Order: sequence, then structure tokens, then C-alpha cells
Amino acid sequence: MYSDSDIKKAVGSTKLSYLANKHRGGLNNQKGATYEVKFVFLLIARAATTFFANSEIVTISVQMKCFVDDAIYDSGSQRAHFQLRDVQALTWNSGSGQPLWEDFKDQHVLNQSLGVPATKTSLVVSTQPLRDSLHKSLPPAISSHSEVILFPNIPFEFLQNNPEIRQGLTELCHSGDSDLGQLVSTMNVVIGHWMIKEYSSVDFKTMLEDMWATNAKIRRAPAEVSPALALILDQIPGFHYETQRGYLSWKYGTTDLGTIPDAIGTTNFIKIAQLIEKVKPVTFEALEGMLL
Amino acid sequence: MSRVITKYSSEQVISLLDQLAVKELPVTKYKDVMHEVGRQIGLTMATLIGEQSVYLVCTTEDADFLARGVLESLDSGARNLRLACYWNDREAIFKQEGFSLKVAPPFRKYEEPYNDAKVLVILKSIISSGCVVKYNILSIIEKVNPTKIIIAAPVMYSGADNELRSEFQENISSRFSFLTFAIDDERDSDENIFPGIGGNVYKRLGFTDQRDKNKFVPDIVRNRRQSFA
Repeated sequence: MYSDSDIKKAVGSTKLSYLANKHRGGLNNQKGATYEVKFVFLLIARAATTFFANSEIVTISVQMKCFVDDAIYDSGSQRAHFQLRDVQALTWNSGSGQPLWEDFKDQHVLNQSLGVPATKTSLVVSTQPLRDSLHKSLPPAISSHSEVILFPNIPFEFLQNNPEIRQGLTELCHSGDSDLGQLVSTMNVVIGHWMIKEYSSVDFKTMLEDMWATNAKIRRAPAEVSPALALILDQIPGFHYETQRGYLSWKYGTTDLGTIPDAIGTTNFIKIAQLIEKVKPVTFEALEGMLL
Repeated sequence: MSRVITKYSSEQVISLLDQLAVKELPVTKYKDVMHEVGRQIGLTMATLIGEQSVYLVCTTEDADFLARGVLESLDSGARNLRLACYWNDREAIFKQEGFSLKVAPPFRKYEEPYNDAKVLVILKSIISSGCVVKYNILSIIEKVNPTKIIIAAPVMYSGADNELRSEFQENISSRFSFLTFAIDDERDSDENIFPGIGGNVYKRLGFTDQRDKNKFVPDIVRNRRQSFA
């Protein structure tokens, strides 16, 4: 994303060597940085909402060699940089090598020199008092492109309570009629995938395709069932189904609902479809034992 | 290996648990004993909750035996009883990558209309890691507003109660109470508890595996569904 020559050209060679040290330190501190993983998950959730709403593909990067480097959310029209600090005390003058605020300023300068259409730099902290004090003391030199964000360091188990994360999970879930259990399961799948793949930079669509390749139960592209299967299902009284997320989700009456756990087109789904086509059930009672 | 008998147990219950632990007990007899254990859980529960209405969540494998027994004991005239039955898809994800993360969301649900129950019962034949129980609570908790959440199982693994509490925020876990007859402290790598309920409950109930039990539609679901058609 940022080459040494780009950096040198934009901010000079002294800053380039400062950045090399900062980048090394960042990579060392990354291991076990759960706060960072949680925040990246917020960005993934945001990317999911954007992608499924208007097909906009966002790239998420971590620990790039640049000034505001913990996480980057690049939509093409705007590049948002995040510096994360899960600490109790911090000022804009904190920092080793140069003050924090100067990192924010240099990032803006660097992005401008590279023709990035718009830059936003955000300091992310985990407590409200710290957020408020840093917001009040935001240096004028960076205020036009900077802000301070509160992101509490809550346990992984409760991340879904963040409204933006919940919205993203709802979009990512393989079932359109998701409950909290399915959302939490989806969250585990996505976070686990992110950690195992150890991405440093990935666009959301690629990440989604990587998850599909592992058969993860994640929303897929809309799919159709075969005409023969559709004909049978359509004639069962009280039975309704949809395939918008690449899985067959169904409802029967007011009491029964579900999603076949295998995506449409997979071997297991084809076996289920073949069985239904062979048996040709005409009631839900005759069908229900086959919906797996 | 040691078993702690809880205050809710009795001579009769201990005898029933001993029968469940006998590997040679035939499937049909095992189902009968599990049904009777359910009746005993229901009787104990009735003394704890009075006439309050109940929303009971069970798993498909437990529905016709354990859950039916509980419902029979709770089914007094004044008490409003509703049932949900979940088909859980329990899997260890990322096992090939070297670590195992367990998830168990229901992929299919039978849920009777919510009845403003003050008591939510999460029933399971055995609680080992608590993964299925966790997901079943998550799947129902936003649709009901109980003052009490009873997590009930004939046998639980030692410490499973605290593990489950830690999975939920205080506003939910503070409503938990656990109803079990025995607490065991030995389990194998597949999370089977000893003596527990005599090994893998799917197999003891006559299913070959999880997929097989998930194809099963309990009679209690087929019968009760008609009332809500």
C-alpha cells in the first residue's frame, strides 16, 4: 500500500526511518492483540453491511507500513485509518519518536501525495473519559480529518451487542431469519477465519470467497433450486421457502422454521434434493424429515 | 471419578440414574427411564416455580422422552405451558487448522407462540460443555422475557454452571438457576461424562449420529403442532 519511495517523497527520509521502527514495533505487539481483532471485526461487519447493501467492496488492512497503521478501511472513495489504544491514559503528545498527533498529520500528508481521494484518521480508545478528554484536546492541525472514537474492550462473547456489529452479522448470516444464536455462531466463524488466515490486507469479497471455500456457513450469492424440486415444494400447503442467501430457508405455519445446513449446490444439498424429488412429498409432515 | 448427588435427588431418582448408566440397557427401556427422569425433574420444578407459566426449550433427541416427562409433571390446570424444540447443528469449526471452536446453533426450530412465561426452562439430557445450552438460550432469549431461567438436566459436569454463567452478561446470567440430580467430574475427549447418563445420548436413544438424530421429528412436536395450526 505504501512503498518506501512514496513515503520518502511525501515526508522525507527521517520520517521513513521512524516509520520503519514503528512498523516493527507494531508487528511485535500484534500477537495476541485481542482489542485489535475485536475492532477489525467491527470493520468486517461494516464492510459486510456495505457490500450486501450496494455491492461496494471495501479493503481492510492491518499493520501497514504507514503512520496511522493499526487498521485501515478503504472504500476507494475514502481511506479511513485507525490507531487503537486500549489504555487508561493518553495524550496527543504521547508517542515514542514523534507525538501521536504528528502521526495523524503525516498520514494525511502521505495520502494526499499519493492522490488518495479523502483521508480520515481516527484514534480509537476503550473508555469514555479518555475519549472525551482526547476529543476536547484534538489539535487544530489535524482536526479537519481526525476524530476520537469510543470502542469499549468488551469480551468476545458480547461483541454482538454492538449495534453495528449486529447489523453486519445479520447481513453475513446464512439464514435470513436469524436469531441471536445464529449471529453468535456466524461471529465465531468470521473471527476464527480472520485469525487463521492472518490477513494483512484483504478485500471483503475475497474474504467472503475464502470462507465459502471452507464451507463455512456464511451468506452466499442468491441461488435457485431445480425446477423439479421447486415444483414439489411449491405445492406443499403452508410451506414457504426462499434461497436469497444461497441456502434454502423455510417456514411452515406459525411454529416451524429452519435452514438446510448445506448450501444450495453442495453435494449434501443435492442428495437432499434428490431424495425429495424421489419421494415427492405432498404434505409438510411427509417432507420435514428430509430437510437435512 | 466421583458423583455428587444434589439436594433435588431422591432414592428413586438415584435408582433411575443408575439404570441410565448401565450400557446394556436396551434402547426402549432407556427411553422409558429417561421419560421417568423427566417426570421427576418436572415434579421438582413444580415445587420451585408454583403455578407460574413456563416456556420449555428442549432438543429434538430429548423431546419425546425427557421433555415429555417434564411437561407431564408440570401440566396442571392453572399453569400455561409452551414448548420449543430445537434441532442443533453442533460442530467444531477450524479443527483442521489446529484449534477447535464449538458452535451449536439450531438449524431448525419448532416454537409454540410465546406465552409471556415468567419461567424459561432450558432442558437437556446432559450438560457437559454447555455449548448446546448456550446456543439454545441465545436463540430464545430475545423473544421471551422470563424472570427465571432454569437450566435443567439429570446430570451435569462439574463446573458447567459457572462456565455457562460466564458466557452471558449479568442481566441474563443473574436469572439462571440450575436443576440437576447429579454432578459428575470425569469426562473423555469427546465430552462424554462418566458415569453420566451412560455415554453418548444419541446412541443410547438409538440414533447412529448427529445427522441421524437431526432427521428425527419427535411425536410430541407432530402432535402439539396441530393445536397451533
